[in-house]
Amino acid sequence: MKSFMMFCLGCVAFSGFAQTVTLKGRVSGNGESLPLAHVLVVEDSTVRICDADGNFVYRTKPGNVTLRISYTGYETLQTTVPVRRDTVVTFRLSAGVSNLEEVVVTGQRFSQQELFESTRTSSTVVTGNDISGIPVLGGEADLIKAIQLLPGTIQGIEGTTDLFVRGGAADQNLVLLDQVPVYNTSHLFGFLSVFNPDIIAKVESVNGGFPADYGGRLSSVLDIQTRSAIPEKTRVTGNVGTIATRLFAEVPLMDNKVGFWVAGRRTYVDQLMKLVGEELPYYFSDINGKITFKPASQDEITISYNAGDDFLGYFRDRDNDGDGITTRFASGNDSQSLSWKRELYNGWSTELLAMRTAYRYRVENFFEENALFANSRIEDYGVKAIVTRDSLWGDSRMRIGAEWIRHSVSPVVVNTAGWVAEFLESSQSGPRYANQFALHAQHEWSLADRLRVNAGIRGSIAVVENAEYSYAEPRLSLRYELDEDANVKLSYSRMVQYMHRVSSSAASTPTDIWYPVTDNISPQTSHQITAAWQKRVVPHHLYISLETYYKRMGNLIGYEEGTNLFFNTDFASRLVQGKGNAYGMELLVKKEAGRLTGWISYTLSWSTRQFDRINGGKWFYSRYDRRHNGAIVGQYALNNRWALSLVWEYISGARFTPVIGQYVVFAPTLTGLDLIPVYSDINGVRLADTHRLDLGLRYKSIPGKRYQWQIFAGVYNAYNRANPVGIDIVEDETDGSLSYQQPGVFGLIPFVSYGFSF
Amino acid sequence: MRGRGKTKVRGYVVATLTVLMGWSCLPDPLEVRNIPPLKPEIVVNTQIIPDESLVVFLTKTFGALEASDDSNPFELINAIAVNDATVILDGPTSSDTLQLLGAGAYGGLELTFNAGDVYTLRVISPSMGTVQATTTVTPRVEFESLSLRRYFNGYDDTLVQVSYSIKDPLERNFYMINVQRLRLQNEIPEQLLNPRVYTRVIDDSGYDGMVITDTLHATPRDYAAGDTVAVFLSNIQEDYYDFIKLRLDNRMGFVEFVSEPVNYPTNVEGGRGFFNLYIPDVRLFVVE
Repeated sequence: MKSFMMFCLGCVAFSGFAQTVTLKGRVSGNGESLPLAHVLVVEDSTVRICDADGNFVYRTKPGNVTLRISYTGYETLQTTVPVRRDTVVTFRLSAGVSNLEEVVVTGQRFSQQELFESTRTSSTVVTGNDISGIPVLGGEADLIKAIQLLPGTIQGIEGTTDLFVRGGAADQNLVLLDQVPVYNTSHLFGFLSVFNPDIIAKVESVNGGFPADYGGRLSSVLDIQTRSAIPEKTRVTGNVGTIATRLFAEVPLMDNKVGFWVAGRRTYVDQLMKLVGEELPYYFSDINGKITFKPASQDEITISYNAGDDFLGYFRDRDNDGDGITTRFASGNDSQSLSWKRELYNGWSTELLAMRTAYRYRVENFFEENALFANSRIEDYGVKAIVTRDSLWGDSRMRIGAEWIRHSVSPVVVNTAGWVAEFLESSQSGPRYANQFALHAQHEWSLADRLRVNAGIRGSIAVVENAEYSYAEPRLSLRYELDEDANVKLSYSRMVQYMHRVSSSAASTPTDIWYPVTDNISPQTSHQITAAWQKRVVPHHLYISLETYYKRMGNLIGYEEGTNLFFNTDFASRLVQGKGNAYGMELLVKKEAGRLTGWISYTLSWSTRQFDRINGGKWFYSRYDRRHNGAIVGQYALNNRWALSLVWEYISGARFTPVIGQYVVFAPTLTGLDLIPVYSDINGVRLADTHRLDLGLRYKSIPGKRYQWQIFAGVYNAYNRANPVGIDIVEDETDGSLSYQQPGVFGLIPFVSYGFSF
Repeated sequence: MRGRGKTKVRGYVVATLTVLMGWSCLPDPLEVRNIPPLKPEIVVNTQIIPDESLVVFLTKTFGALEASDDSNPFELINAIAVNDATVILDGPTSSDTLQLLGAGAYGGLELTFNAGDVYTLRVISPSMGTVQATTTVTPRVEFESLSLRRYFNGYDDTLVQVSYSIKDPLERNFYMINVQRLRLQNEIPEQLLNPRVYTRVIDDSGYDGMVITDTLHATPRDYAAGDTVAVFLSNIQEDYYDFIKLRLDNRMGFVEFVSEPVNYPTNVEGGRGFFNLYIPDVRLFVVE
């Protein structure tokens, strides 16, 4: 580790002596920047990918540089630029499409291009438009809600932000915000994600074919990158919606050397209710900020801060006599990171990251001597270092790195007093520490004219009290080009997970607990293979992907039947481990430009589990084994001011374990009979299918004015369909008869929001 | 002027919230048609009567929609009682066939149960099949001291406070303490189905041979002066302890859809319920 750090620092120091100049380029077309445009430097075959604002940087020796710049929907530009000193050039591409582009819903278009040309499988890029353009519950743009509409990803209970990817559990997704893990991804008790849409530059969802620099979870990586470009001018945007209000400001400083942005979001209904003399005892808030410092053209230093909180607090006075019960619940994430990226000579670059992230919750419930206090906390410190070398041996690329994360976990501490203690005894699960190390290396090269390979290996180690685990995690991706617009890909990944979340199999809650491996709880593991066929249809701006996958999972976490997770400090002794299989086929047709944009997704999948101590040891379907999962997501620009959007989602019913019978036993005092429920086999019943139509209509102000505004209104669940979360037994109030029913969570819900920028 | 402005804002807020709430609607729940059939099984319940007799109560499992807390207990028992069984109790020195007493109850008289003896119960029913269960007679353990008084918890609840001590024998023991108010309605206990019994279980590991002393506050929360309250102490088998503990652990499964299902354990092979052979120590108090 020490040698590796010295090596990185050596590279950085050495670069100071080389005589180099910088070419800073901006790629635009039709008057707007082209994010993620490809810039091929012909001399050394290296590729630069533009950032979200169409900018790239290239350092070289003084001389001529030949660039080949491509962007789907535009004519490729090849040009030679004399670079004898630091130079700034804007490259304008000519549109190769019709004038319909003028009324397109603008944003970060053609984002799938990069992934199409890489060896990567099972990856999708979600852009700002995808997130903010679709109608969602409450009208609050939500990254996770957009991700849930992609193939391979299934939501849990309707409206929640849980992700179940390719048959995995909700805790098997690594969510990274600027490379920093986020442990709790939701506000509003799971119904809204913590990611303020204003700060997001790009999101990459990776469900398979994982590069070697990703690790630590079995099922997916959600890599969220916030804005890091230094803005050209100060800009303020805001949004007032049904659920929350947001404000974002970005400011350039010191002549494009320094820039920062800050963003805030908060629910405001509690404040509105105060105006009418009522009380809504809940709010959530986020605050995010980032400073970007570019002291030299090859350096980028960023400092990020992200925090979010939920608070519920109320006083209940049953008899209005001044004596009542006080309840408070508070939870929150916060993270900080320092990142330093450096472009070195001849294709070398380095990235260093130091970070801290934490999540905690606290519950307080008390009346006089009767009290319940519970709290839990997880805190990580970590560093990462990555060295990348483009154009090694021609068109190949090498990337090696190391990372260390120290987890400090206080799983749950419960203190009770008074009669509460009769139900819930005070208890404490001791703090735990885990150190997680990883070294990774990957190399991508052309094995033959049309065959490109990315081979990597990740070595991971977890050190905990009384135990140490180490795994080699090989990764392999192949891309065979059928023609310029079609390819087939194959990938294999082995993944290992050292942190688990203790939660119900049905839904995540803010009181779920993250828990590291122990001497009794082994890491979860998986093998996954994926085969893909991908095609782009350039004239229609279409991207088509068809994939199949098979995933085998080991040491999955489950609970002994009947385990009560409610403030249970002894949960570790109730954990059991088993295995699982998941396989399926996924289709994505995505249209990223033109008057109509959006995608159609479809997934056919199976997901099963086996635990020796659950369901009598028999294999069973996992809770979110949902056979068919499809979505139609569309935005249609009527003109440059009006746009329609639509989401229609169809998912086969989730699985559920209902009470199917009962029996009687003597009450312990022999004074009656207790009714004992009999359940079906685990997840033995499929709930009714879920389908829902959401509609939105957006109206924008006249383009070109300094103050821009827009109104976005619509309805969630337009035809008021009950999308069930379980099976309930209800009693008819008139005749006392009992019946089963499947209640939904949300019906038709209108929303409206007002956004502005200047 | 300022007051009028505030009133206007308030009006806008009320109007907006009213419109949004009016538009929002909760859809009707969907019907359920695919519940799998329940496999009928024999359910065994037993109780030693201290005068050297045993009652075995045989019923069968029934559908989830056939009864609830509010159902008529007598109609339910008549519907689920297994009355066609041959019930045989095999002990260390004898084998006895119990007699049908009615409504699924089978009894045997002049049965002497000695602590540590192992018994096997066999049930052969032409309509329901055969089940059997084996258990060991547990020694009776009594309270060494016990007191009870009314306890006001400060939040409009009146509980009873029970202070007790138990002299724990040296061997491994599992105890169950129960507290129940005994009220009669029309000559029968006020709630026959799911009676509100306060239960605590104790694993004596760590107490072996010592005196266990503790105080508990028992629900329900509306004890009144003059109530008759029974306090039970039972020395039970470990498998029954696990069953009761699981019941207690899941009493707060209030979030039904996110709770994990439970298949409750049994010591009856091929059926459900428990074959127990213990004699509780029962004390009665009148609340002052």
